[in-house]
Amino acid sequence: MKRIFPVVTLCLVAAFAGCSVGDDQQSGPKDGDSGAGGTAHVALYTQPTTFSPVVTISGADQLVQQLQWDPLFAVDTGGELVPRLAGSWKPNADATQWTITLRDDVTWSDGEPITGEDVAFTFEVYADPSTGSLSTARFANIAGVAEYTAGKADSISGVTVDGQSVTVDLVNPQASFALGIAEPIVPILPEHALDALPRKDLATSKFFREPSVGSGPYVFDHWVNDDKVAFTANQHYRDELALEGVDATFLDSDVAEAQIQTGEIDYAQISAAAAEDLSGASGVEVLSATGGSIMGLHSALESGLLGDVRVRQAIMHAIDRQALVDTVLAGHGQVINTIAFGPNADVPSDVDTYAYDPDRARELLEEAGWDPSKKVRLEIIPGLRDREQVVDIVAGQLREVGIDAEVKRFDQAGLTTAIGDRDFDLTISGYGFFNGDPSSMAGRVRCDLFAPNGSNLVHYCNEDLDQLLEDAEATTDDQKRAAIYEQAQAIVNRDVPVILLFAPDALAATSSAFHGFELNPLPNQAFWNAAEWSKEG
Amino acid sequence: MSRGLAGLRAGLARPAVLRFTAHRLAVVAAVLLTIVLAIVFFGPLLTSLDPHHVDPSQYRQPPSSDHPLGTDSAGRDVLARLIYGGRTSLTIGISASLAAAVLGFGLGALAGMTGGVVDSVLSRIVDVIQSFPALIIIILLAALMGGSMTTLVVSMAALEWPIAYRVVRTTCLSLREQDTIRAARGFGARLPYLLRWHVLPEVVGPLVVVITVVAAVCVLLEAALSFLGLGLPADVPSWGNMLSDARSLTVLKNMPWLWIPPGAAIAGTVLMINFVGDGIREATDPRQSR
Amino acid sequence: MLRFALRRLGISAVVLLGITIVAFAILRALPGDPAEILVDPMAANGNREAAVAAVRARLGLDGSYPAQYLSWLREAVQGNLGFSYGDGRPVTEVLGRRLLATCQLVLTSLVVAAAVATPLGLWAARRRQRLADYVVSAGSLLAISVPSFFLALAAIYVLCVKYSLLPTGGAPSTGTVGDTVSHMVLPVGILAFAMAGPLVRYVRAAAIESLASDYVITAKAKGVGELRLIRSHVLPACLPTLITVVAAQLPAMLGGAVVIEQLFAWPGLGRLTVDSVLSRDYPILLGVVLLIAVTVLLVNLLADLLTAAVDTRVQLEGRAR
Repeated sequence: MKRIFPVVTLCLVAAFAGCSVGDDQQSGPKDGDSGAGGTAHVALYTQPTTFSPVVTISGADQLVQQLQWDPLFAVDTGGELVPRLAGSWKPNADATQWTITLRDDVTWSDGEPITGEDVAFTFEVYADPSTGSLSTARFANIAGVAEYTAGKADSISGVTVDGQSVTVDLVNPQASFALGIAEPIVPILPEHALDALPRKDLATSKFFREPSVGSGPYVFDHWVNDDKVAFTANQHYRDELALEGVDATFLDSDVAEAQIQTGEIDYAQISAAAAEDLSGASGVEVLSATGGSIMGLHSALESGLLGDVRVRQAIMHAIDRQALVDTVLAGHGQVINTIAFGPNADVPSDVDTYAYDPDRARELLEEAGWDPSKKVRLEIIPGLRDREQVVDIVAGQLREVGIDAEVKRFDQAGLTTAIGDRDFDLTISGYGFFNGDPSSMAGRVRCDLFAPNGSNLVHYCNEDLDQLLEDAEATTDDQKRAAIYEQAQAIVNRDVPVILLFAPDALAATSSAFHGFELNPLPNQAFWNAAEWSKEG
Repeated sequence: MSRGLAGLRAGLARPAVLRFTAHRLAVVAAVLLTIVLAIVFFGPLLTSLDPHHVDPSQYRQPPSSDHPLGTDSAGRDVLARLIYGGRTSLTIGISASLAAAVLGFGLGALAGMTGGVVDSVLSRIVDVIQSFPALIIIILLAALMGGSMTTLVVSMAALEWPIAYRVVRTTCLSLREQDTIRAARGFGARLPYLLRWHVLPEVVGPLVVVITVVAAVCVLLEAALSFLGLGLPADVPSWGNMLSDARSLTVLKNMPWLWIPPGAAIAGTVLMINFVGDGIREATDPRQSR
Repeated sequence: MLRFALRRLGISAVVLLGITIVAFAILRALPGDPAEILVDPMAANGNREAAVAAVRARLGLDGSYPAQYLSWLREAVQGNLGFSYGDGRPVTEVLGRRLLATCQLVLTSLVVAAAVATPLGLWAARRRQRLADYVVSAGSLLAISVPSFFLALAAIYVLCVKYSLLPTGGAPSTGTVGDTVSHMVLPVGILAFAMAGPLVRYVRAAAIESLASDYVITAKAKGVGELRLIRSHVLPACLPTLITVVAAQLPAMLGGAVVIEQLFAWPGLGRLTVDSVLSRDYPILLGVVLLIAVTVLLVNLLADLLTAAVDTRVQLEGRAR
């Protein structure tokens, strides 16, 4: 008898508190010529939490931020930069200075003009670690950032604003600077709305939960519930918009795959298995594009377990990577042998392809003096089914060649702790944008970018490789660059800093009534051309 | 109640067996459950099935003569995983329920025989434990200690002992006032003696029922936890882990051999445990069966 | 009486304080630092140590544990349970929304379960030892034994995928009656099925007892109609059992709701708790514990007071027998 009351009382308390599940209010059409043609319903693959691009650079937050904020330039489906707020951007001859010029016709959704001052403000916020910024490394090469973050200067001396034009002076030459601030996306933030806030509270201020100003095609209207955000067309957007609004909802992948069939949603990222399933369904279009992200296994190389390059090569030979692509990905992906890959990545033609060869793997292990009683953990954060299947198969195949592998489930907290303690054997993770310019590999292999303060998670270090990467950044001559990168790729291919498995294709499904959607190979850039979306009926 | 021990045993035990066998469904369930336990615990010794052998070329193959229940997403034999998975799931269920019964018996007897502050503190703790949703607490504990078989058994036992506690405590409270116990105490009998010779015979029937109920609950809890991806490691065969695979619509739609066997195994086994428990309840406590 | 009430209130406050201290200690003992988690090492690109330090300072995680607890307590007594680490919203606001969503699900299921289980239990009791009784009893055991997520998967397969009758998940959002009902049918149906299992059994047992009572037998002999008897005597006699069982089931139901909320993408309290455990969102988790503890204690207190108030009467009645 006693125990019925807690719950009933809880409910009464909640009811009296006047909270409601899902506001009923719908955003009606507003004045202005933009946005007359219905609402697009899009699925998000994680729960959206914040519009702050400073502290999240992954997951669905990036998607909702793409609707809300425009960056200087976006990465198109071919991996090329296309203009957004910036009309032009170019380096000087030795890539030590970049000039970015904003378009004249860009305004915030409250009518204020977007100017070079907003760009300078944004760079300051991203470069300053006290804001909780996750992207400081990408701005560290700008002249004057060190003084600014040390509190010795009020602004970054290397950033000069003249109206719509911003000049950026770099410490070291960097031919890939523009690309570096295009992916992950660096949205420009409104100085006039944020300047009054203390920097350390900026990233988590209420403004970023319910932003009142935006620059993207569709701007925040209200949270329908914790899983769902309603957007409305930006009345001050420079181009005409076809939709009245966009509803973005976090849906479990299976639910999303079912709802795309029932027509409840217009877009969802889908799994390879579902792509097979949906390709015949009526009213559904399945889209596929060569993906830019890689899936690999990561080890704390200095821990010694996989420090020997022959052990890493043996693991490459022990795993039937083509079979992984054929089964788990149902063929929607490719096996890769270098971190940066694809036709533009200057991969030499004679790279080792590490064909599936258990005998060769055993030989290499023997050479390396591998102790078969050593336990090797395959670490995974559960929840992504493709990865779980991959890990199951890899564990079995490693056991076949005499590596005693066991799957270890971690939650995010456990894994973060293990990475901090440098205590991980083979952690599966997928990320990035590696099928464009080969400079993208640098963050994963350079000696000065060791985690936790850089993205070189495995602590791989090869000074020859570092020198090559540095030389390549200092030249804008395409042929010279390509020759240098070919040497760099050969080293990465031989040393196997990361056990590379494959590069999955990007897959999505849209409803037939939904037009203008162009599938970007990068999952977190899926809404890159939202301004061009429209819907029938 | 005040009969001699020997009489009590002879008088209670035989009709109990008879009453149990009169409950036909329970008998059928007991036989089936025995068969399941035999397959799950001795089956692996007789066959060469390997639940860990992966083979990407056998990816999600439908049932065939090589693989009577087909293969899963890592090309492993589903039948082998079903058998080994049953071993995992039932080991957890049985050990957790036994541990919970022992804990509940000890603390229940302590509270019932001692009374006073000990009783009220323990009973308040039981109230609190039973007020919190078990699954949520186990999720917390699994996060705290890492998802392993020991963790699951310990946390389930830690949350499920109150049922046994209540049964034992109530019995002890009524026993305490009886002449035999008072007399025994008067002769200087110690608590362990009283528990062994006076309390245990009284509660053994209800306690067995509690064990079946808790075992059923624990099998379901393990399945739910692993299904949510918060339980055992993915490559450990368990019924919950196998079902976790079926959250994909593709599997649900096109590959029934991946989700119906483990689902049916859980439901069937738990159903049989509950039938047996019911039978025992009616056999040992005729009042309930009216 | 007043003194007794005050004393109990005092004890409850102490217990509550104890629960929050234990919960706080357990949460801090969880492996993984929330600040480290928020600055994802897989994605961070730059001075991560500085970013972690900034986050830690912002979240108030840089003081000693006792200091952190005291500052939480100081705010909590003023009604501020802190802010979610994940999205920075006030904990009270997040909890309120989620609690209501869960209640919507669980209470509806409860009503449905009681409405189905009571007549079935009564029917089985009247047809005792006959086919109907066996079928109902076996069915109730089945409801207890089938895992709700297995049932949910099967239901999604049949109703959503094969025949596209219902949406597959999500909370109702447009506010129309049709939308609300269609989103609730499956999760409520499955929860109610699981709840009805034990209910049927207890109603049946209580009804059998009542049907065998002297009063009913006499009334029957006097020629009182059976339906009237059931309405005026048997049903009221079953009510206490019904309420007790429902009460005993509720915590477990919230647990069961975790799985259902997860499967049907229902933004309720259970899913919030699971997500918060994974992301080490301490303020939310402390809020959840506090919410449950306060209610449990409050209710126990009320029950004790009521018992004390009617105690004299109980004793008198007992003596009269």
